Amino acid sequence: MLKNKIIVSVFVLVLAVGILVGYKLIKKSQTQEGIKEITVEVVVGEEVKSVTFKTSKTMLGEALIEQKLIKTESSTYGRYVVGVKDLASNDGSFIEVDFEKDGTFWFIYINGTAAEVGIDDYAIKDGDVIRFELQGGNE
Amino acid sequence: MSKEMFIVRRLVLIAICASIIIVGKLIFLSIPNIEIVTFFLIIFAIIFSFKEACAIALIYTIVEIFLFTFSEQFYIWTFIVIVTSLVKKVFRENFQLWALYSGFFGLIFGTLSAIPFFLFYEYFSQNLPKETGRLTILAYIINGLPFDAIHMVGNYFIMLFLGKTVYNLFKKLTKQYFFENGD
Repeated sequence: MLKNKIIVSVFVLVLAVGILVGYKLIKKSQTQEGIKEITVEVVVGEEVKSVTFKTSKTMLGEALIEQKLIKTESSTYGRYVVGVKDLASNDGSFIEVDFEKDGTFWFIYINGTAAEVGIDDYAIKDGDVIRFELQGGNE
Repeated sequence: MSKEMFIVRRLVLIAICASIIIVGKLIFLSIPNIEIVTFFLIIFAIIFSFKEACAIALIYTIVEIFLFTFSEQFYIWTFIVIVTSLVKKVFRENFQLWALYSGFFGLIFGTLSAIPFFLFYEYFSQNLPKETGRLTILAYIINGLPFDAIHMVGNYFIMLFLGKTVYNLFKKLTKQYFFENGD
């Protein structure tokens, strides 16, 4: 009786570990290896500036950090974007937002639709267009 | 005990059982997908009649909607009670089987909560491409897999370690409540 209990319990644990491993494999199969070219658009009001670059990173967050395009802050839900590089000036400064202070935030569109996951959970594909739009505030 | 007294006592019992589940839910709120709602609902569905267990599940569902807003899991608790009532004659008091059963419900919880989305996208929305429902349910299930795994392990071990004890306790207390402290 006790032996059965232990065997079944081990089976349940193995199944759980199997599911976690399967999940990792599925997630990995969604990523694209090699060099990918992506475009980043920064929209402030009416003004649209864009930059196109090549990267070998798999996740969007890493690629943007590598290009020094964004500034992030970590939270319990993962990293979120607090600053996007000011493409109009060449000194590498960031346009920063502070939701707590003035209600502004960066809204992210991926290929024209609102991003469903955070920057660290999105696997980039060749030809992606990432759009950062400054929203909120007392405009 | 008069008939009225009996009915009043049953009503109070339903209310108390529902509040036990609500308190249990709040206690485990900070740990993702470890919950004792399924556990208590299964135990109550085994001990009480179908109608009473359904009443408990419905009260819990309503309070949950008030506390955490309406979500896609609204129908699952009643569903668990209905299925448990159907299989309780087969499983009897074998808590190894009940533990597996509880774990199975943890495992399919993500799939069950994805079904309302699927139905909505597939049949009730007009301007979306045809495969949206299927893609959404697939993405929902895959993204929830790690949480389903945790849910399964949590449900299984809670039922395995506490099932028999809590079941016997509730059975004893219910009996006392109705027949030994009689008017």
